[in-house]
Amino acid sequence: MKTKIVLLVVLASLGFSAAPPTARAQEIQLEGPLAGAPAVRRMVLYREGRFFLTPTVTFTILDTYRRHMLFGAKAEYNILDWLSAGIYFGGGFGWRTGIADQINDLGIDDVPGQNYDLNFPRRGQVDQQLGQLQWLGAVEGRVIPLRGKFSLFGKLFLAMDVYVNLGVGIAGVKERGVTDCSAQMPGPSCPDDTYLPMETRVAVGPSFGGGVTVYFNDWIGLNLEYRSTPFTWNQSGTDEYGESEVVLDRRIDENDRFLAWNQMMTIGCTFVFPFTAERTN
Amino acid sequence: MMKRWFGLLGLAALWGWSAPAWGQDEMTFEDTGGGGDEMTFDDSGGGGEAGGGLAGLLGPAPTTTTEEPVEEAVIDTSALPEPEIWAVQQSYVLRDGRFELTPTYGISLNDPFVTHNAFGLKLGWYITEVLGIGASFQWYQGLDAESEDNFHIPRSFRLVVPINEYQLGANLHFSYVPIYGKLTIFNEWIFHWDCFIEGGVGFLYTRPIPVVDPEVRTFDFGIRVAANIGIGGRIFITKFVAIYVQYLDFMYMEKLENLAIAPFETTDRNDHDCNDTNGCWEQSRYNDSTWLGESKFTNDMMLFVGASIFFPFTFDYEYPK
Repeated sequence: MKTKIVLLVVLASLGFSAAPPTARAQEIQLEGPLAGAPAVRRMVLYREGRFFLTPTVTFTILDTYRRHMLFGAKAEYNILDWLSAGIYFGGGFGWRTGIADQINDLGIDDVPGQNYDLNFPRRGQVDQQLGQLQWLGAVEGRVIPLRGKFSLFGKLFLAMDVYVNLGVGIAGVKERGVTDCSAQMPGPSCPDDTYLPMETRVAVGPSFGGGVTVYFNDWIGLNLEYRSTPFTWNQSGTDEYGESEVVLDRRIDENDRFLAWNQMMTIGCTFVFPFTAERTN
Repeated sequence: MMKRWFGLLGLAALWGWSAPAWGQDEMTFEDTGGGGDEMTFDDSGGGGEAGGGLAGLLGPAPTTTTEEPVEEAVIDTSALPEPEIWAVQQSYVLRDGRFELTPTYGISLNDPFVTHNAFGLKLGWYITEVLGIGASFQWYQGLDAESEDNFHIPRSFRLVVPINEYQLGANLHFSYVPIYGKLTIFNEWIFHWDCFIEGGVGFLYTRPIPVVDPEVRTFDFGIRVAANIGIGGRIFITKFVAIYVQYLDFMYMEKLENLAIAPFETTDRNDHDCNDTNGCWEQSRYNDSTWLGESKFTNDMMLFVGASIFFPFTFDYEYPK
């Protein structure tokens, strides 16, 4: 009897340990023709194995001194329906913000007894020192975790997906050239009434963001994207750092660059090749 | 007589002979534990291989036919069961008649000099499935953060930018939900979301932060009537809890600090002689009527995130699933 009880306990223990862990999957109790059916049948594979080409217009946002508009394009190849790799390039122009306009309209000439300052431009010349974003490129990977569809006003039904991207950004920036007034007097590198030429350079930083693509049919869609490409640059063209942020060195150089997030919004029209998307079973 | 019966049976068989299925390419059938507005089960094209017509319900029919013309058969379908699958199935979440309580955290997006942060609470009630009204409250004071631009710009350009502080805001809103959809995460989990636009009116309780003459000037909070318009979205975790995101633009006339400092120093309110040594009270820097400058149309663009809680927690569908 004792042996039987022990055997029973052992078997019960084995049975208990062999029991499956807590079920994690939702149990869908379906009967009839739906039993065993896939979650999505004949799903359109908008991305997998297809090439996206998206002409874009990009607007920088939250700028202190200068806003930019970049015209460009994105090209990406979708390795899977949820994974792609691609490049972006855009170039364009900028214009002053309200603050920059005020600085431009004031000018050091309006300050009594002064006609030159390393930081404060003469009236109407602020554009010769404000940093400009000339072009922006990015090589990036993209994960598309979300896809689905939505109804607009209950009438129009469209497919969409949501993605995040991460990569490396490369920017062509134009900044105020190195201006050395540490000798406290005008000289070849410290002009008193003219600016040294602006200098261009390439800045590199991470590029990340996310976006939404809405598909009107198999091969055309609308893309809206947020991107941030942080890197350091001197947007104001001013001397901001010397021995410290308080004690300046009267020299405008790479030490006066600050990290900026360089945030932007992009809108584009996506063309997908080949034109016909495959369907799942 | 026998031939007529055979004819009828032949007609029934033809009825049951299924036409090729012309199913929609993007036909989907998704079980999401609740269905969705746009969930479709289209059997367009006249039936499938199993017999989309009525013959299957009427039982098997002989395949033999006769050449004799037959009369058109009229079949009474009233006794047949109702279809169990609806072309448009139930929405995952119903809003009609429900309340929505939303604690939020907000951050301003467009002011490079001061970032306005706010904790808020919003209560809404849906009149229909897509139309709602609501009221919201935001608390800002103590959460504002001044940026480094307030240090660099005055130092470099001798340009003082007037900035303001918010204490609180309260608003009434109308909401309209034009977009409703669902998304899969890696084709494994499905969640529902909607997108709403919102507009209304309310007020902000603000005051200037003295930066031009901070030794003398202090400001009291005042009411600024503000219109608001925005767009938002909800991602439903359950039938009564959703992640909430909203962009809202508060548009109002902001009172700014006067950039000019009155020239005289008198503190005597009764001194009206502007030619004496201390000057007159009307042009004194201590006269608070000289502290405020122009009113400026201001857009305060806020991004709110939060969690929506709908109640009652449960609801009944009008039609069975």
